[in-house]
Amino acid sequence: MKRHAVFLRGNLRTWNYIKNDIIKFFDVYHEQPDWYVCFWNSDTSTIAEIKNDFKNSNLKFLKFETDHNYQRFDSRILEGAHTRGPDKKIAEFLGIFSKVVYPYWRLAYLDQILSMAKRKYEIENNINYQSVVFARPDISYSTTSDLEDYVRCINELHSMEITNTKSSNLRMGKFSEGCKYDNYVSPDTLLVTGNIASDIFSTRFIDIDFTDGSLTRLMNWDVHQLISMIKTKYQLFELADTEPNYRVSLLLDIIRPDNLSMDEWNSMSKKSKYELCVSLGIDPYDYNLTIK
Amino acid sequence: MLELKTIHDGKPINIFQIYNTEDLYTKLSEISLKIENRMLSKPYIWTNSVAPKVLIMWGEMQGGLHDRIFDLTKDYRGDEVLLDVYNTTWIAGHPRAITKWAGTVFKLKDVEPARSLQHPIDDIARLIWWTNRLNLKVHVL
Repeated sequence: MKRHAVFLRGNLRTWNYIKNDIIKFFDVYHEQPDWYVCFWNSDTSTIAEIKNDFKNSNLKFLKFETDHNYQRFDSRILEGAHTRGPDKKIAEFLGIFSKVVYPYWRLAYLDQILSMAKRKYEIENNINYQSVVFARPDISYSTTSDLEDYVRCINELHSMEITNTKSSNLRMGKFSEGCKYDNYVSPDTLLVTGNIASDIFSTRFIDIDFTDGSLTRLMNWDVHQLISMIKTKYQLFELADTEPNYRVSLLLDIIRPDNLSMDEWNSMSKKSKYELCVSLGIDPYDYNLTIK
Repeated sequence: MLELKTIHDGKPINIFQIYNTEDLYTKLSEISLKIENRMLSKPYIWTNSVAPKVLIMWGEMQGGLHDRIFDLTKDYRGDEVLLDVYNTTWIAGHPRAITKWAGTVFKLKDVEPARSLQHPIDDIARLIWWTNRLNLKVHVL
């Protein structure tokens, strides 16, 4: 039987409300996958509680990462550009953008940790995962496929393929600011990858561009475009010739506190969000509403 | 067994020596993890273009070749590697490029080059093809 892995990472957010659904979905449709889990340290849950959540699943790796560890890299992420830039003004310009793409690099950092844990396990046990799913703890997953079809599609995934990421070529100006300038974008909510594609994608934190001072990478502030640039650079495209151009039909729904819609959540003040999170047992840090 | 040594006589280069080549690809993957661990523990060193380069050896090397490899690779950027095409016993380059190459070559057996590239298909052809597939710049010696 082919083995599959799930990378679950990010801020815990509404994990406690949907954790059973997330675990159950992947355990069933990805045939008892190995779980690699890395969350930002938060009061929403603890290591012991997370272990208990996965007590009936194959949890291979679990870590709570701290801001302190990540921040060692943050000021240096553009080191190459800063030292090689033609003048100080460009260096300062790039420094500002490095803060804007903060969420992208934070997630890339967690993926790097999980990727190393996964490859270590693969080497020690002489296995190759057929697929790796990159999932978030605040998203509810579902599918319209029947189980047999879904499993067949996952098992046929090519090693250099990323599926289920519709690379939009749309004028999504209201959704993504960067689309006004370069409209090739990929979602950051879910990726289903073949085994080599997963290694390439998950090591983007130390990808080869930085020391070359690639301006298109460094100046880009849109998370969705940065992800699509990895896909295009390494040609990790959907290889299925099926309609609607997906191997698997994997649907997702971002679950916000109190099940609020995106518009409702965005219209709230920071203070209201903070109070709502506290009342629901969600650490406001998960939504960047407080600094630890 | 893997052995890491660093030449310090004014020409810093990190050398990984692989003694048992029975499972070369797995060893290369282990080296990639070691480099990545080093990157994450000492970020300042490895994010800079002038980071010491990495040489991975899995065969005998002629005396004096270390110096030559250092001179050739010292200005390599993050996506450049130097391959030995005659004996296929080593690869050198920027640590970012090396870790990208060595970290995925473990699974190379799962990926076949296009049919037009398969004649003749030997180890070095596959390695060069894979290096190109990863968008690395390949220099040969």
